[in-house]
Amino acid sequence: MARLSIGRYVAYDTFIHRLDPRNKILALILLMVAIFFQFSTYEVTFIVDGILALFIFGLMIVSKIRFKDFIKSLSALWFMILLLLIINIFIPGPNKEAYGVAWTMWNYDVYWASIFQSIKITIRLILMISLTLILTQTTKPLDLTFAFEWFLAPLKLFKFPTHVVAMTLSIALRFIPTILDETHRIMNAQTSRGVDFKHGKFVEKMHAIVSLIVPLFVSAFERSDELADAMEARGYNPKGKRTRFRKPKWSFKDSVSLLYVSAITAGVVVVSVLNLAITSDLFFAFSLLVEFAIFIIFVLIGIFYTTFRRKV
Amino acid sequence: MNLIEVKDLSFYYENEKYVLDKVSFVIESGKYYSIIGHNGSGKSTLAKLLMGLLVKKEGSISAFNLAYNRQNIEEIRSHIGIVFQNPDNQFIGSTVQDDIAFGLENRRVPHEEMNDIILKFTKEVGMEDYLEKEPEMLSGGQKQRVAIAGVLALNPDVIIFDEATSMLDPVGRKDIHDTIVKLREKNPNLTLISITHDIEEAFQSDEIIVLEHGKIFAKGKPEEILEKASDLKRIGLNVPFLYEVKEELNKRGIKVNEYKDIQRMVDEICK
Ligand SMILES: Nc1ncnc2c1ncn2[C@@H]1O[C@H](COP(=O)(O)OP(=O)(O)OP(=O)(O)O)[C@@H](O)[C@H]1O
Ligand SMILES: [Mg+2]
Repeated sequence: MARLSIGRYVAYDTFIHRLDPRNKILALILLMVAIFFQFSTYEVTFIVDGILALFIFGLMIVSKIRFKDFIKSLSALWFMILLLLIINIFIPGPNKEAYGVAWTMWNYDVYWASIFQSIKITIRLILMISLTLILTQTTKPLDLTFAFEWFLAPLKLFKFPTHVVAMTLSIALRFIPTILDETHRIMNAQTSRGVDFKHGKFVEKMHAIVSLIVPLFVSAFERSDELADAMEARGYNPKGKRTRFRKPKWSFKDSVSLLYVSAITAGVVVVSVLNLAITSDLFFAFSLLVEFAIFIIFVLIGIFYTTFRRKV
Repeated sequence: MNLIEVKDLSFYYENEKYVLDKVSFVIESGKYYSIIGHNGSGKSTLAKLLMGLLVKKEGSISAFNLAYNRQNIEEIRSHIGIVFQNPDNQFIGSTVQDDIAFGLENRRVPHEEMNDIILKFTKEVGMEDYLEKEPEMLSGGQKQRVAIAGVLALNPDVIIFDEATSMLDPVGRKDIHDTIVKLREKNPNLTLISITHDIEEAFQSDEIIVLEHGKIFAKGKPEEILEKASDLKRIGLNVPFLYEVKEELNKRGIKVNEYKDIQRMVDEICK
């Protein structure tokens, strides 16, 4: 089975890898906020998004994200983009007249605003996915759980069992690959008994799936029993005090990088609040060029992806 | 010195069918015990009772002069470690070092000491090069060695192996067996209780306990157990292969006494 590459930690030793997971989560949130700010004109929007894109792609290069993984993580987007375009064309926003009509299709006006809107959301989705990709590929799941637990710490005041939640989460993460392996084993076993997972009518498929789910559940319950025994035997007590093996250290470079990201977000907020209304005559020519470039890139990516996938 | 004393211990699960029936024995310091018996004879149940994971129904059980109860259980568990059968289901941390650290965290070992302890015990089981590895990248035998390191790191006086090798291939099995042998050489004070289906292995221990239908069928040194060889065979348990050979030879009038070492046995026959 091809290993799940999206959302999987990739062990490199880069600047981003070494940052404190709490810092990375905070930075992610800040940049997401920056990405989804609204601006008065599409000129401003595309300039700001372009700067953010440069920054985020820079981050991807620094953290050695493989191009293949990036493309794979976008593969769910194609359908979304198409859907967005259709929705925006048929239900244009209130300011549809601002950039005029792009072309007329069977007496139906397709507005530039609709197309710009789709491009804007597409860019933002890609940026958002890139950010998540950076976070998950450079941070161990366990460190993420730690950061998560740390952020939830204030809830302890209300007797919220943050530690138990974090422990549950980290065990779930630990067992995902084990259970995936097991799923494959059971599928192979059932296939060898004549169960067909790929073909057949709906009812037959349901039967096949039940033949997979039932043993999977039985074994999962057995596992959890044995796991609980193993944990208790090694002195685990959910209510007891524990020391920590992993202690992320907040270092100087964390403060600096977080400050840097905060500055970027602040800049975006300022631009948005100033309500800058850049309009330019060149914008049309420029945006047509950009559109064409984006189109070409997507086509290339599509070709690349389909030829690549066969090999993997 | 008696580390663990079990007297008339009985246990049943929800269906109230006795799984253990008036079991009595003592575990002495520094000895190597084997518990053998058929599937379902109650071996794992006994191990869980010793670990305080199940609570006895009748009889008495104490370890380190402490009765098993809510107040003492943490203290008792700090003296006893257990390695279970399934390598996956006892790997709790997300990497080798995290897994060993799990027990240390529970015991409130200071953060600063953990790295040294982890390194020391992974070295002891030969896993020091795998500290960062995740369980999917390890073989079953390697995972069991990590489990052993995790138990050792907690510095127990007694280690229970509940069929720790039965899910491994022959290589993994030998691997774990060698690890255990080395462990005993290095820590003569360590008490081992090995639950096993491997007869050859069981007869290398100091004492054997044979369980049958929840009762103790026989217990004693390997030689004493072998005196009842015919009884063992009657309930369907094997005796070591060389012992069988010796018996058969004796039956055919060839006098042989040696059965522990194949080379010495051959020498004796050829004399
Ligand atoms: N959680 C449980 N609930 C009810 N019955 C159980 C439970 N666990 C075990 N039993 C039953 O108790 C009996 C003894 O089981 P136990 O696991 O102790 O045997 P065992 O000697 O370890 O066998 P094996 O060699 O297969 O590991 C069996 O008949 C089993 O079906
Ligand atoms: Mg058992």
